[in-house]
Amino acid sequence: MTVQPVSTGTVGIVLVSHSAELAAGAAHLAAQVSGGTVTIVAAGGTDDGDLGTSAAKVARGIGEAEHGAGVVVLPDLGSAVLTVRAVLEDYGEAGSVLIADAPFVEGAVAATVTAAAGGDLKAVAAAAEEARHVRKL
Amino acid sequence: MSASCEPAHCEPANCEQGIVLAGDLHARPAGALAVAAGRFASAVSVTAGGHTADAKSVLGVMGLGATSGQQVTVAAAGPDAREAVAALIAILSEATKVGGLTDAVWVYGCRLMGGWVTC
Repeated sequence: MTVQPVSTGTVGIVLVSHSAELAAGAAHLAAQVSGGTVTIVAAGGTDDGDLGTSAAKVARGIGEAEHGAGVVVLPDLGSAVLTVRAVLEDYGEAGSVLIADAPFVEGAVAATVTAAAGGDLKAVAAAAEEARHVRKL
Repeated sequence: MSASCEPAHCEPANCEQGIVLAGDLHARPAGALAVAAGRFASAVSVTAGGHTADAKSVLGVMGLGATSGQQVTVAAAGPDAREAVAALIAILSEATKVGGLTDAVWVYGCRLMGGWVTC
């Protein structure tokens, strides 16, 4: 599921969650906060719709999100990271895809806003990772 | 309630302006603000209630928890400081109006990148 239409020149975002609904909801929220100019792909759940992650969905998501500026992938928990790593091992141009070690919702919002502002691949990944240090209270 | 702007205090590479918010600084206006701030070369900050956040950090701006009627100050330092403050004040003025952020604000915010000064 791709929430946003194709936008060239900005870093794309792939949200990898065990839950399809969680990935889709986070993608919707991030799109609303960032103004809808960034491609955000929700890659949640297994291929048959259960809780879990799918290497095929992640690989497809990276392909959909890549518009020449690279892709930042945010996994939610544990094995989502393993799935993303396995995909990146096969992806070839790993330099254009970064995994962000970040809180899922806050990281998705921060990364997308930075991408919308024209941030490059490293800046977008850094924005996601800085999310763990921002207090909400 | 409409936003009320204070006069801007600007030098070539430094600029600061205050505004009293017409509505709460929710997630979407915070996003609009951070997207706009990120397009400027200058360092830009937002201060409210004694706390200051990097205007380019949407989570930082949301964390200010700025609400309707509160005074917010935008400050910028850098080559495009004046334009950055003008754009962000205008976004704060529009985006926190009662009724919330509309799609028009995004367009408006983007047009402001051209250097309009309105408040």
